[in-house]
Amino acid sequence: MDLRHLDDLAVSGFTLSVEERAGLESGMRKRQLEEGLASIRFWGRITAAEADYLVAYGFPPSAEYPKKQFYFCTTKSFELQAFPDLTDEFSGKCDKLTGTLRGDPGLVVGGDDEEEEEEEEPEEEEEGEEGAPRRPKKVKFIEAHRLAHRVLAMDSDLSIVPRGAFVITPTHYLAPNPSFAGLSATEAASAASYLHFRRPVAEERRSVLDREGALRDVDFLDPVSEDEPSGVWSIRVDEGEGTALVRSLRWPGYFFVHRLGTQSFGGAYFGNGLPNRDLAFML
Amino acid sequence: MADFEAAKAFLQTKEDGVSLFDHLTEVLLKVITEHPENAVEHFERISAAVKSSSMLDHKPSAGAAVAAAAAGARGEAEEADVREAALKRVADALAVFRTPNEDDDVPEVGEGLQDVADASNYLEWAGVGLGRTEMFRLHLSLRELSAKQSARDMRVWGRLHGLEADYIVAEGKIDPPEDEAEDEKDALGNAVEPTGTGANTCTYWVCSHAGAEWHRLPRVTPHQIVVARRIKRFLTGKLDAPVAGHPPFPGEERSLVRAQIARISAETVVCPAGHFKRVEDEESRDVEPVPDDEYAAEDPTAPEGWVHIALPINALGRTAPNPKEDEGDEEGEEPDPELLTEPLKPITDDAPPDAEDALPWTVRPCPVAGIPSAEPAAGLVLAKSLRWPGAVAVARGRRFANLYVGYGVESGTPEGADLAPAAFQPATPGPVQSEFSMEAFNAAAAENGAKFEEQPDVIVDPDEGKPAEGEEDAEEDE
Repeated sequence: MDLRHLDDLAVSGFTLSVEERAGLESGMRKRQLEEGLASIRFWGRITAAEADYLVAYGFPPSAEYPKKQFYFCTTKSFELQAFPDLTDEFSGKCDKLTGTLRGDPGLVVGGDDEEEEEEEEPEEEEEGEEGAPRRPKKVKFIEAHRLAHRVLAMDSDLSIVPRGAFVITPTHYLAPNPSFAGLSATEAASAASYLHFRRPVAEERRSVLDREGALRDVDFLDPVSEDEPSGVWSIRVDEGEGTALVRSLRWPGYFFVHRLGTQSFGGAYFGNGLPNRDLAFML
Repeated sequence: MADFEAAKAFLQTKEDGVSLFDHLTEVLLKVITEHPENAVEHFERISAAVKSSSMLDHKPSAGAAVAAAAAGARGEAEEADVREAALKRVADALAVFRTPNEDDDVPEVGEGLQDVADASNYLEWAGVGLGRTEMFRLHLSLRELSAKQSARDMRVWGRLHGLEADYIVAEGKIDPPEDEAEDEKDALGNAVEPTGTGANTCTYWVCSHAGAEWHRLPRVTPHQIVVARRIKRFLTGKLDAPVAGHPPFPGEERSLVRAQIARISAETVVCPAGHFKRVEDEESRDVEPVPDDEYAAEDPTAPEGWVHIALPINALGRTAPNPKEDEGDEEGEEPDPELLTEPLKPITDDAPPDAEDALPWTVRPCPVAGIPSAEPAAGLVLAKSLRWPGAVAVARGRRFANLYVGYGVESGTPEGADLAPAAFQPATPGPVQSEFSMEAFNAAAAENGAKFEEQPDVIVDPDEGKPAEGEEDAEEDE
């Protein structure tokens, strides 16, 4: 979501403080200029015990498919950093850690990791002496990895766009649709009008996408109406305000607002970064 | 030249009333007038848009057909209803701005009305708020409600998200209504606390948006609190909706909303220590604000500096043991002293006994970048509950504000080193009833000197007296 449109999310009950907003404004602009990003947006805030994480994402200039570049900072410093790379090993570790975050990105996760590392180091040096290619220094498993893993998982579930807002060009590039006129109130009330902004999971859409030649405009992304269990998205059209509010109940804290009949839409996450594992009992 | 004429003639051939020449002219006109970026990329779409909007095109496009089908699903009458509802909602929101005429008999605004706009400024620092404009409208709406209900200490309690609509919750204190039953008991035999005491100290009103009608919520019963602790449900947004789940909840959704408010208030309405003191009466557990001249600022930047304002709720779902039935009833066993809960407990007591570092609160000064003034008390301090995500408190000097924004469900107590909240365990169904046993029944009956015997089963042969069918058939066959 564009920071300037954050007020549209007031209905969620969450907002950014003036400090967070001011810090992010500068931090995001800096990243955008440094990396030549086509655009940069606010993704959400994850509450942690010591400080909160603020996450933003940008689109590199020549991105093909929804390829997002993520950045994060804590509320202690607004210098945005890129997410660290996640290896399979780290992803596996992250999957097992289901608790809340501390709020210190450099925190080494798992108390005894540090000792293990010291023991391993001499071995590495020996290998180096033997002439074998010296392995890069072992990367510590830190909280930033957990944050990255969690945000990427959430983004794949949560990132949605109204149907028609993005189109695929005949050369198979994803592009914002300049003639998108917004959803009508009737359209906005239907879960089929919101599409997952990610590489489609459904096989038939994938194959459509990989096919040569021109494509139909809109049917290349998964609609949220196919998500299981049904009712995992709560959609509410408020014609009094002229908005449609879409909320994820799997990730309580994700709010998406679309101003009916305009090109304005966007969502953000405000929460503790934990999925609602009790959803089955709550609907 | 003949070639050009021939080509042009070909392009101008009309099929279904449209020629390619006309179409290309329209498309190029659209490109020239709209100046889209990267027109080559979007050429197909522009062409498609021209086709679908062209009056000459007789074939409806696929998109138009879908829209028409969707519109058909919602008839015109329904469309008008929706419009009317939307209009009413806006009119309601506008109505809060009316200023009463001087001649009107306007009741006085109740004392202690929260300065909502001021509080929302502070709460914005904690990252919560219902939006500046909505908060202002709420302020006006609350003032009216406070006057109408002659309620004291009125404040915006928060916002509960529901699946179909949200509840905006207002809190206030009123005198017990005259028709209130004095010694009402719930299904478990626990006495409902009267308005103005315990879990019913405050009364709550809900509405769906500023300007809409406020609905007063009923008193909460201990049974409702006990069951609310064991179920985990999303609210629907309709006050009269039934509550599903097990164990069965005694009441409609309005009671569930009230029970959750009671639980959230008891656990998350906090303020820095030193703002309140207990009243001098030994018997009473009420608290009163400390007068300004006695107020000594304590450091609120550590969790130790914060206390709960509301009384905690005990295992019975009350804040005190049940009242004695009769005055003369001396035999009754002495109630467990733990059932009598105390106000102004520090929030550090909320940590689970076996994991003291898992304090379900985070307390931070803000702005983080440092407080412009040298005076530490000039800065804001915020406390966020980790157990009830969305419950926050902000304090600055002698001012503080609390707000809850969320789905009205707790995150569960963190467990283990990972601090992952425990998964919700739905209550298991009751044990299967044991089968009837003659021995047990007789053993009970023997006390009265009675003895019962089971009658032998009466088996009537339905074929008795009739010739066996098989035989008959056999005869016929022959």
